[in-house]
Parts: sequence; C-alpha cells; structure tokens
Amino acid sequence: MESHVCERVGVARGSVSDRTLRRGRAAIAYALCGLAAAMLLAFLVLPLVALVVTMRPADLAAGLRDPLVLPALRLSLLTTSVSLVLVVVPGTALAWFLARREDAVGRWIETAVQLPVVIPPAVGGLALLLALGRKGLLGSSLAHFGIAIPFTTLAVVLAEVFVSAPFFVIAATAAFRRLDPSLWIVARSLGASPFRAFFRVALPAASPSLIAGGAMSWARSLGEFGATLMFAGNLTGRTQTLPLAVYTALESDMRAAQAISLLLVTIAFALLLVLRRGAAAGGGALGFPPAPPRWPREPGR
Amino acid sequence: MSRLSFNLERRIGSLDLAVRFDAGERPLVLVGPNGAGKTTVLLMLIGAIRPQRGRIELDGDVLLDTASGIDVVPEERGLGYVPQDYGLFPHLTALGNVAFGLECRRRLRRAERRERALALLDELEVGHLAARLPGSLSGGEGQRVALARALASEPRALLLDEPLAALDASVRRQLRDFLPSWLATRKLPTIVVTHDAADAAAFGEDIAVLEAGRIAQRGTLGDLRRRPATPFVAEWAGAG
Repeated sequence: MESHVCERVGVARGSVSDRTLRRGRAAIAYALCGLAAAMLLAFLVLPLVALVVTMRPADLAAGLRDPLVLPALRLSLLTTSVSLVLVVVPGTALAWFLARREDAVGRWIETAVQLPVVIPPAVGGLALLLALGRKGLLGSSLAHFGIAIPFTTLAVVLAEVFVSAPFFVIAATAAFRRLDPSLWIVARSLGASPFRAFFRVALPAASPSLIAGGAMSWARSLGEFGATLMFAGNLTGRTQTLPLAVYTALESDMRAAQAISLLLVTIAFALLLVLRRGAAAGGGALGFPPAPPRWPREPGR
Repeated sequence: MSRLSFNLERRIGSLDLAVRFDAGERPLVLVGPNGAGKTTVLLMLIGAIRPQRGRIELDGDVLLDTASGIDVVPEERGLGYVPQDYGLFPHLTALGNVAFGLECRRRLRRAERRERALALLDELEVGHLAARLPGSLSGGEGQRVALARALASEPRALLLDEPLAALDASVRRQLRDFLPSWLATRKLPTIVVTHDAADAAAFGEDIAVLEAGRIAQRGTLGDLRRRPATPFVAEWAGAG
C-alpha cells in the first residue's frame, strides 16, 4: 500500500541514501527560501522600528512643538480632505463608466488613469507645471484672467489629486465590475430608474470597496512629496504639507523631522487597521453573491 | 385573462435566437440544454438585452415593437424577475429588499411599506427572517425573499430563472411542492426556466424546449416523452 502511494507521487525509487540526500536538499532549499523571506521582512520592519525606538518621549513632545508642525498638519488635513472629495465624486462616475465599457476606448482610458501610479511623482509635478504653470499649456490662458496656480495651496491640492486619483479609480472600477450584474437588472425590473438603481443598489453594494479605495487614495495624498515640491513649492503655511515639513526640519531640527514622521506613520498604521477590520466586516456581513465578472451595459446598446 | 406573448430574434455570438410563444395563466416552462438561449429570452423580455427584431405584448400593451420603434424601459414593463442567484441586494435586509420593490412603484408611507413588505414575507413563510441580510440566508430562504420582492412591485407577469437549481435536495422537494401551487393562486402569466425534467413537470403541463435558439417542441411532459421531436427531447424527457 505504502510503496504504491510512493510510486504514484514519484519518489522512493532508489536506495535509502538517495532518499536521505533528496530530503536533505529539500530541507536546505526550504531553509534558504525562509531566510530570504525573513531578511526582506526584517528590512521592511527595521526602519520603522528605528523611527520609534530612537525617539525619547521628551524629544517627541519637543519635536511636535516645533513651529513647522502645526501649520503643516493643518495644511495637510485641509488639502487631503479637499483632494479626497475631488477624487471620489468624479472618480466614482469615471469608475462606473469604465466598469461598463469593454471596448478598446475603455481600456485606453483605463491605462491613462493608471499612468500617474507608475510615473515618478517629480515628473508628475513637472508635467503639472508645464500644463498649468504661468507659461503652461492651459496656464497661459489662465494667466490672462489673473489666475496663477503654481506655488499656491490649490497647487498642493491638484498635485495630490494627480497622484492619488488612480488609486481610487482603479479600486472603484474593480468594485463595480465585481457586482453581480443581476442586481442591476432586478433593480430596474422592480421599477427603479437607472439613477435610482445606481444610488440605491450599485453604490451601496460596492461601498465597502469604494471606502477602502478612498482610504488608499487619501493615504497617498497625505504622503505626497515630489509632485507637490515641484508644482507647489515648500512655503510654510501655504504649500508645506507634513512630508515637506519633514524634509525641511531635517536640516534644522532632527527631533521635529522624526516627530512628524512618527505622526505620519501612526496615521498610516491606524488607517491600515481600520481597513483590515472593514475588509473583514465587509466580506462577512455583506457577503457578495458569486458574481459573473462583468456588469451589463445599458439595454441592448 | 392576462397573457404575455412575444416573438424575439437576435444573433448573439454563434447563437441565432428566434423564439415566438406566449404564456397565459398556466406557467410556461422553458427547458433546453446549456447555451440554448433560455436566460437570454428572459433578459430580452425584461429589457436588459434588446432583440434585433421582435415584439412583446402584455395584456394588450405593447412593451416592445422593433418595427414601430417602441421599446418600453425595464422599470416600466411591469415584469417580476427572479434571477438564478436571486439577485438579492447584499446591503439591504430581507425586509429592505422587499420594501425596495414597493417603494419604486408607488408612494407609500414608511410604516405602510414596512407592513406590506412583512405581509409578503409572511405569505412566502419567511416573515421571521425580515431583519436578516441576504448573506446569512440559505438558498431556499433567499429564493422566497426574492419572490416576495418580485411580487412587491405588483408585476403583471413573472419570470423565474432556474428557481430550484441552486437548492439542496430536501429544500428543493419542499419548494417544488410550494412554488407551483403558490403560482396558481397568483394567476400571473409566468415563465419558468429550468433544465430539470422533474422540476418542469412540477410546474405544469406547458413545456417548451429551446434548442440552439429555436423552439424544438412544445407540449406536456407526456407528449414530449411519447413523441420526442429531437434526440435532446428524448433524452431529457426520458422517452422509451
């Protein structure tokens, strides 16, 4: 019986020493893979540990009292809130549109939306300058009306929208695609207009994933540095967000830089915990029915 | 007497669908192999897919007539639809699902809506599940909630896609007894899609076999058994 099983899985031909050798090799391979994985994990965790353990509570308190901190915190909260709204409202509409299109045009738009994720933020900032700067593509026309965007708080918001919108749109498109198409058809057959079916059925049914996408997008905004520096500069109270304040403080007061960094890490970690809990609740309580991959298009078009 | 009659034509991929029939007070049972176009017929009736040519008439009202450009939107067709996976709204309770069907059609006060939704759930013997979310319902319970919801919108005809397919044996037998007799009390033109001969027989005498987009044969299970028109019908109905 046993030899029969062994034969079927293709081992245990050959001598005992062969088998021992093979087992030994497998053990070494496992150990090497485990070591490599452990090293990566350690490398990911170590800097965060350093950020926490090298700071005494007194230094943290002193660092947070640095005059850079409060304006930067206020500006970060303001700009990320505004950019979140600017991303989520049109982003939801765009995601709905993309989820229902299956043609080449839809795929091209989707790729265009994803681009800001892969291009370097500094390049994004430069591109924003070339588009909306005083001599830019659109900026020169705006200058006629006395509107100058670069190096203002608005520029901070736009830089954040530019880098963070893809995170939301990608998540929201996937969420709408995952919805069971029959939900839409049933809602319509029950007498709901497309408008009502969207707001009462599609949107709430997709909302756990939309919220998760919004949170990721907000976190990306909060951490935004490169595009902001290029397009909005680093002016305390006007364009200096928390990440830029870290950069500035590094030159004058290491404690302040570290304190702000800790603040950012804490916010990010809290967000991650909330999202994990949300994902667990969303999967359990809302339990999506097994869904075909696509959402149908409008009747017959 | 209410009647749903239609003829529909559409090419979908390699399937050339052309069907013409009608359903009155006895349920019309639509059977056929996978990919024959059964669900597509229901989706065209609902208005989720537009046929290239066709006409749908319900109690003398024209819902669709491609020749004269009439195409009533799904929300105004008055057809109750229960898809194969029931399509319950995952974010609403059983009661909320049924109330959704009520609120779209008429203006009712919230308390009245709730009362009616509860009455419908009771009629389908699932009143005790009113506060539950669909994710926590069993297949049979979900099916009944979906039926209650379809009725809430006061449809003029019912379309049921594989109503018994996703159920385990005991619940299936139970619903096989309950559903046809319940449908008989409602007296709505009904189309039931199924692939199971025993289910088809439970729903009634009027069975239409759809094969590769065409009605291959129509009759009672006895007729199909005695004089099967195609090899599929013979095998499906268990002839011989």
